[in-house]
Amino acid sequence: MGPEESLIAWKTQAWTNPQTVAWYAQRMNENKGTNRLKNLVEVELCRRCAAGDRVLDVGIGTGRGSIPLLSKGFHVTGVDSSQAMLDQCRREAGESPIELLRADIASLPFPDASFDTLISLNVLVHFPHWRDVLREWARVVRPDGRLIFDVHSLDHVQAVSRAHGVPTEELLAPERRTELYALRVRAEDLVHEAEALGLSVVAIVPYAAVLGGGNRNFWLDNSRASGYLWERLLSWMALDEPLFQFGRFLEQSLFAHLTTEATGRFMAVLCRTSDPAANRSWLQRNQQINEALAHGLSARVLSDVVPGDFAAWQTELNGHLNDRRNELMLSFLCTAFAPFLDSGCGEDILAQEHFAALRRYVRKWRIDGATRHFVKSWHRTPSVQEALTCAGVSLGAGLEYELTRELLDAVGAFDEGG
Amino acid sequence: MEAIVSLLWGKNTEVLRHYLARRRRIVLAPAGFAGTDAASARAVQEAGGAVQVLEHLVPEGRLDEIRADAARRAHTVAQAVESERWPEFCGVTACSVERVREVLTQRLADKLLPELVLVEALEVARRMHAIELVVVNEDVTSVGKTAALWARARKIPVVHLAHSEILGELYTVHREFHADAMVAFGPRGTEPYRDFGIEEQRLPAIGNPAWDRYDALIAQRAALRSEVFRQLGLSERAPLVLFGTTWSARLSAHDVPDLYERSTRAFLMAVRIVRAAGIELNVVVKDRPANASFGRPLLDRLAGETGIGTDAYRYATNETEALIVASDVVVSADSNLSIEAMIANIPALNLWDERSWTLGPCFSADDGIVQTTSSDLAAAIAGVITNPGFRNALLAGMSARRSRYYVGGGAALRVAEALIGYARAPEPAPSSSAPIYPWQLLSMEQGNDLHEGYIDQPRSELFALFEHQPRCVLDVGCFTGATGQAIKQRYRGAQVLGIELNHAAAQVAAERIDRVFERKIEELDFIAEGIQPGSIDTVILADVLEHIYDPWAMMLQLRPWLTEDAQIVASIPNSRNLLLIMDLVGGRWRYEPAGLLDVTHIRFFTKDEIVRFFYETGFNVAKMASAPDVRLNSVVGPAGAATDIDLGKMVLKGVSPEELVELKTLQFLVLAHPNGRTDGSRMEA
Ligand SMILES: C[S@@+](CC[C@H](N)C(=O)[O-])C[C@H]1O[C@@H](n2cnc3c(N)ncnc32)[C@H](O)[C@@H]1O
Repeated sequence: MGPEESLIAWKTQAWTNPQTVAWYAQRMNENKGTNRLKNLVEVELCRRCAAGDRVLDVGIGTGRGSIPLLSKGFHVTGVDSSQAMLDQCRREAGESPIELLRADIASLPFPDASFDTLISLNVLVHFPHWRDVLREWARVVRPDGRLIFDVHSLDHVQAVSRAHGVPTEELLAPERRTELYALRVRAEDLVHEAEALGLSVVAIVPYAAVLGGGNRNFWLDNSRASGYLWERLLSWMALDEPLFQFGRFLEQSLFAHLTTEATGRFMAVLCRTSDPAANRSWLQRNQQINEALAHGLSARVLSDVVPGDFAAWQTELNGHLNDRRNELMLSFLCTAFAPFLDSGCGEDILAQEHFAALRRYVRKWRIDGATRHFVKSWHRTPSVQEALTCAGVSLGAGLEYELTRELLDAVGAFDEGG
Repeated sequence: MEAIVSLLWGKNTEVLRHYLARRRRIVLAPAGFAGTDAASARAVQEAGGAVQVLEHLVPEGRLDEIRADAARRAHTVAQAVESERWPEFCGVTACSVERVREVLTQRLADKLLPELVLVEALEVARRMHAIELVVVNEDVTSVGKTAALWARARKIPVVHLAHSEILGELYTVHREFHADAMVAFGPRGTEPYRDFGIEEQRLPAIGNPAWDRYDALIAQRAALRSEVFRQLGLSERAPLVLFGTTWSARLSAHDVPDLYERSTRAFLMAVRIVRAAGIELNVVVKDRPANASFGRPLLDRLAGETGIGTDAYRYATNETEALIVASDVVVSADSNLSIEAMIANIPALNLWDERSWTLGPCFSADDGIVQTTSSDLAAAIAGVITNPGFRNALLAGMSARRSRYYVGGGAALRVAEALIGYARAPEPAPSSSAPIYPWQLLSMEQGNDLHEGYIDQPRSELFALFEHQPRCVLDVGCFTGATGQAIKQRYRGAQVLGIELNHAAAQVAAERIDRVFERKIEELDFIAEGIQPGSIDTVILADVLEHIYDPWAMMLQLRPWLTEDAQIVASIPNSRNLLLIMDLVGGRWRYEPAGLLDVTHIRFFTKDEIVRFFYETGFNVAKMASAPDVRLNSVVGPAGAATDIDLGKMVLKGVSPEELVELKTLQFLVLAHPNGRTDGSRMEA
């Protein structure tokens, strides 16, 4: 077995253990952290984009993607390589009729064109041989039918790599371990492959901007919206309804309209019709938005990409920010884009008090950073360093604690309110 | 002489005690730290250590010179910074260069003085002692950091024991890490450091020694509660709401200076609302001791302003643990008190304030700690008090997450052992295979060294059990013969024979007592060794029965060589020890290098089982005394009456005073005699 085959085999068998299945099912059902948000975003996309009534769910797992479709009158067939998963899915479906059978994602036991829609949630992300799989999936969908599936975005990582000056490989190092393997695809490669298979793009919807956990948003590295701290904040989405609604707004009403560079994951919705012109124009538009976003978010750029009435959109956003916790969540996010904020980005989008609060927050964040850096560095200039070294011990380092307080006081950091 | 430098606070004295009990060392500590006040100095001495105040190592005459040195250095710095402009800092903060210069140089000589004195003292100490470890409670403020940096520069291991669990983002100054390791209270405490890229291996989550008190306090919750209520003059009818004040460290620009006042006011307002709704409450405000001077008047003012009246609450600055255990709900703002409430199984409300999340939320949604704003605090307090379902759900949530924050009692010992692990090997040891886990002791080569866990001390407490003068004594497992030597000194003409497998110990013993057999007792040929049947009138079994696979057979084997009135004196660890039970109830059964769960123990006895053990092998227990477990000293029941002991998940019902003594026993000291059934066969029970 080559490395790719063994990866495929490993990923396939990883789900056969009943305990793993029980764990997964519980994880899908419990309202913990951003689970509910992720589920909602993904399942809604499936429901919205499914066409016809014969649906095939590949790697159906516990059925969270297609069981909700049953009550909408869809006829669902599910396949999975794990019998334990299928058993679990049967339990979750209860009385509702659903056809389940064991099969591999790359070899489906159905004649050509048997389904109107194929969905596959959180499956392709595990596998390197996505091109083969896609060919097989395209085969079982009827002309004009739909394919809906998610993958991680390589555009995202590459864009961050360029912007932050960190090699892509370095950013991706953690994902190189078998158990953390994540398929990353560039939108352009996906579209070209689709085209070669006679498919066309209906939509490619970025998501997972603020889901945390395994859905790392590389733009946020080294900002306050990263690490355990950020996970703790996101965890409150389980209990804090306004925070959840704000997260939902960010995912569905903001990031969903941006590009595959904006977020680490996207949902591809393809149509089984060849339409090279549509593909080309989708790519062009994606590129245009990327270029516009390089200068930051502004009302002009946003009103172009956000469908519907932009003023209503703004009102909704500002409404969310009236909740202090939401405002803080956005502040954390802004620490990743501080220079944009400086150049006035967001000023024409946000209500004045919210924009001021964000700026104030980022300013304090910067003061902290500058102070931290300063108390450590000032005593390292050679002339000072010598006077502040005794028996090889830096006395300047010992001064840092008190100096931090005194400097923060001196620069008026505490005068301005939260 | 070997020494450690300790900048531990008083609350970590227990760690020192355990460390020193294992390794006799000199403790070098700056004035004001653990070991330098009367009480902690005694603890150190009792554990076999000695304290030297670091500053005292600097000769009186040197102080003036150091002061002059500080002034000289300050002057040089003041001159050097004249030409600096710091564009970046001044740019971001919009602060003038002059102002920055002023801050950098103000009182500089005064600030440098304590650092210089410390470095000098440490240098003197280093010439006098072999310093194996530097341990600090923090490595950010001037003295702690200087000590840590000094240790680094001298390549002496340095460990930082957290003094509180940091919950939000690390403040500016905490992000650098000078110690080799920082001991966190629980896994949760490592997260802020890991957010800044500090490796997990440098962040062992071993526990907080200051929380070791909780086990015992919780076990006697009811009694403690009445005591607290009595002392503070609270009403027995009403629940107790404990509020912990908060403060601003002013180490981040996000801090707000009036947080103390703001959060306290919010709490008092909530109290007013709850009381107005007809719910009676006892209210205790727990303040930091350092705040007492302004806290009290401020609170009275706020109480007046919020209209709850100054006699409607009690003010306390110490005994936090007792207050928590005695309370019904704990309210605080982003504080470790919520964790302590978690440990004590008391619902915790975290007061959310505008600034609360500025450095990241301190708690996760699934921690079971309720997040309330000032406007819903009253409802939350009322809910916890009046709605058992709500209360229980909170407790269940907290207990599911407790292990993220709290790794169980007995932390002082674990921490001390970890410190020993970090300490520099005293001598370049030939093979430095110091065990990390207790079980590694099992496979280590035995018998060639004096295992540090056993002490070269006579067990003279056993002598009180003697009923007649010992004449011919067999000390089974005599170790270094210290006990036998004491017997020979005390009881003229006594012959002492010893059995000991550890070669090094046996060699020492051979110098002290009459004969030492380096052999398993089962393999000892009494006749060949010239021991007459019916000749041994005293047998010492000090901490041996629990180490023997078949102690029953050993007793049978001994019987023929004993006189009819032989006295068997034994010390046996108590398996019905309250702390052991509590641990077991909590799911812990941890083998240790020493103590009740010494990893070399293979038999376990309760008081009842000890009596059976002797009876079944042909002996009667004549006397039994209890060596108390000092860790349980504070557990007391009502005089002459039975009491319930609450172990958290389990309650021991109707514990009589005698039973309580048994539960508080570390070891039983037993006197037994042959019971006349000389056939030597085992009685069927
Ligand atoms: C992460 S789960 C996703 C399940 C479900 N679609 C969802 O979103 O909840 C991945 C699923 O793919 C299935 N799977 C893994 N390898 C497979 C293969 N080679 N062929 C078919 N199914 C596979 C697993 O058994 C598992 O149910």
